[in-house]
Amino acid sequence: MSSLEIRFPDEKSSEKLFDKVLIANRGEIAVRIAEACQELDIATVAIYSEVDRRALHIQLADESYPLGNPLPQESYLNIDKIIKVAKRSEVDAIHPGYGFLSENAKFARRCVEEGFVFIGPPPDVIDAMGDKIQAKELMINANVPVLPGYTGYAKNIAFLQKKANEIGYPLMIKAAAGGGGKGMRIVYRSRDFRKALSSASREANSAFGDGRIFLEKYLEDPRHVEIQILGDNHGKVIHLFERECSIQRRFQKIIEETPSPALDDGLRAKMGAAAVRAAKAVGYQNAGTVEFLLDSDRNFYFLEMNTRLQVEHAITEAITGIDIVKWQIRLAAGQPLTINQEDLFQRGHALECRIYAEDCTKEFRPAAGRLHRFLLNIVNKIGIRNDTGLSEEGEDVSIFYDPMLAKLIVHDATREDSVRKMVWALQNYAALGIPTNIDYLKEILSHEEFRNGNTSTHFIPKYFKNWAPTAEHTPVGALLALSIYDLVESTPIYNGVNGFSEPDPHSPWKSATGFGRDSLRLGKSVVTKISGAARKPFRRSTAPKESPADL
Amino acid sequence: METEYDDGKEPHKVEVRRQEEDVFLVKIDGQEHEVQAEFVAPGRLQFRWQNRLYKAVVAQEGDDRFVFFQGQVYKLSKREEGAPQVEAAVAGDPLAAPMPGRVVKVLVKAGDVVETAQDLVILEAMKMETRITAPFAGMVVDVNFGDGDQVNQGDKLLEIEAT
Repeated sequence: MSSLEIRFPDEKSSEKLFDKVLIANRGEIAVRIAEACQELDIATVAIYSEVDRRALHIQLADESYPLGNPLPQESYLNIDKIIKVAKRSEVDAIHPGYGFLSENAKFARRCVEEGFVFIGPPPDVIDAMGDKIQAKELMINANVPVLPGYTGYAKNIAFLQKKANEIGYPLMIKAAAGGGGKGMRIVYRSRDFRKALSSASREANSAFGDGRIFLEKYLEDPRHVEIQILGDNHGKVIHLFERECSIQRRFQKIIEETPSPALDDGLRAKMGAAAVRAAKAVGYQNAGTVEFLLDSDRNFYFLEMNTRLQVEHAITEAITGIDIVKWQIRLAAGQPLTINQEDLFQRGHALECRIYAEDCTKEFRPAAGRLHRFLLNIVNKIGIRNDTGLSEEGEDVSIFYDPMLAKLIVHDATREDSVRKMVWALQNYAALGIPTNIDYLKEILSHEEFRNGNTSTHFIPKYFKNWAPTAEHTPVGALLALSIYDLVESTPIYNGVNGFSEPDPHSPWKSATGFGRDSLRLGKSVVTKISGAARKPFRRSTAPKESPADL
Repeated sequence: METEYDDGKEPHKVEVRRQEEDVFLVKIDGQEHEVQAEFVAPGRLQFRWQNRLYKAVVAQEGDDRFVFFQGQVYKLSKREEGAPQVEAAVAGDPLAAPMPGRVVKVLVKAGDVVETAQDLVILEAMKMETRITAPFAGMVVDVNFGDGDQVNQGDKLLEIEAT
């Protein structure tokens, strides 16, 4: 970090950023924002629907207010309810996170009208970029390359069918108000168009409250490469390099990395400059992302601009050393951007995996239910970041919201190192109770083409089309653990889960004699027994499939 | 006492006896194992078996058991000896809700004649749509849910009589 010289604004001498911020979101991102606010000495207000009343983001906030009905429209998408909470709790600013109302200009405008600072770009910019049709036209004017398509506002199905036939197949139907893959469909044949259109429109309506769609030529086998930008309220815009998010399933990103294996310094500079140009053309402020598709001839096309914090922002934080969420707050408070483009460089490689509650054996359907354990069983998480809104003891995963359970982010010197670190970390992630995509992620990371950096948005359909987890026989070791667990669990003397009622198993207040409550605790004598030579085979035995030699 | 654990592929007969404070004798499918085991936290144990150290995380829900061992999750169901086997009645029923969610739209009504693979119901969970299609041609005799209803996994959505 030696050459990264950033003169941070002195928050002490200048006016305080904000006294209190409302976090209009849930889950891991609400936790992320709450902790950033804590660091900046800003009080936080959380909101929650009925099913989230014991969630981590509530525990972290200074105040929290119920929204009732868990349906998104009745809770995290309900502008009136949220504004009411903001007024009652007398906050200065509102952070929308990602998803929900983060790209809703009506909400941003309402915040401003009611006297709250919206932590994001100005409402007009959200409007312009949120309307993907208008965004495309603005990009053409700013000399940013775009894909051919139909960007009119027509709703007539027969007319749209005609336009689709003109563009040719395959084509994409996209939600005009879209983002994050919701309301998107790819159509390969003319006769599938109508069905896809109504389905996309309905999904868009459910996800964003806006069912309008537009059509775009579908590019064969591109990479998804996006540029993170930061802009202040005084006209300065910089970029924080790229993120490659090509590994997607049904338009949903699952693995992201930076730097992209496809970019060299020249192309990186070109795409960065285009992103900054795009941002300046619309008067962008705060954190945002310009998404591009990159073809095999190194041509890039504007895809869309996300006027919010991205799910995958953490990998950029890892390689640049810039805390994007804290900067969002500073910039929203009107502070100048004191980072200069030439001060930034990419340090090492960072990778993110999104851990979803989904059943890989049943067409990746979202899974809901009781998550009994959700534990990243690693002590010193060097270069490992685990962003989640769930506690280690697990909790109920409801059907109402996005099935993402956690974002696992690793940072290391090279791509090879970080892939290896990620596989190791996933190997130690215990998610018990509902099915997850952890095994799926490990398989992708172990695939030769992924290892070689040959990623594209078609990677999953190409190599993992009919993927199903290999049904393995239960190893003896698992049965040993289970039978001992059940014996101890069913022994009446152990009142409670495994006889644990005190948080500290090594408490000096416990006596270690007899067949009592302490007899199953890890005492000193056992530590001695399992030290030394036993440690080596232990390490090997926990990761037999992905030993370093295989990577 | 003998316990049976079924992993969906084969049942395993297990007998476990505690020999010392931290030493257990476990018989799995007739094979004896001596294991030294300690719980490091609720549901988290480490054990020594055949001179190697392992760790595992275990959780339960009713008779279901989840074991995290060597990077893999294993789901098993526990049966005490003599307990009857329960068949999952709704598993694989193409007209049952495959997941908990909300009915977006019921596309047919009682009396409708449907063709194989025709869309019947659109379900939504976590903003993702799933279509329930007719597994065979027939007539809809009963529709059990309406637009906007919440359904649980396994709920029979509608009845079709084959033609």
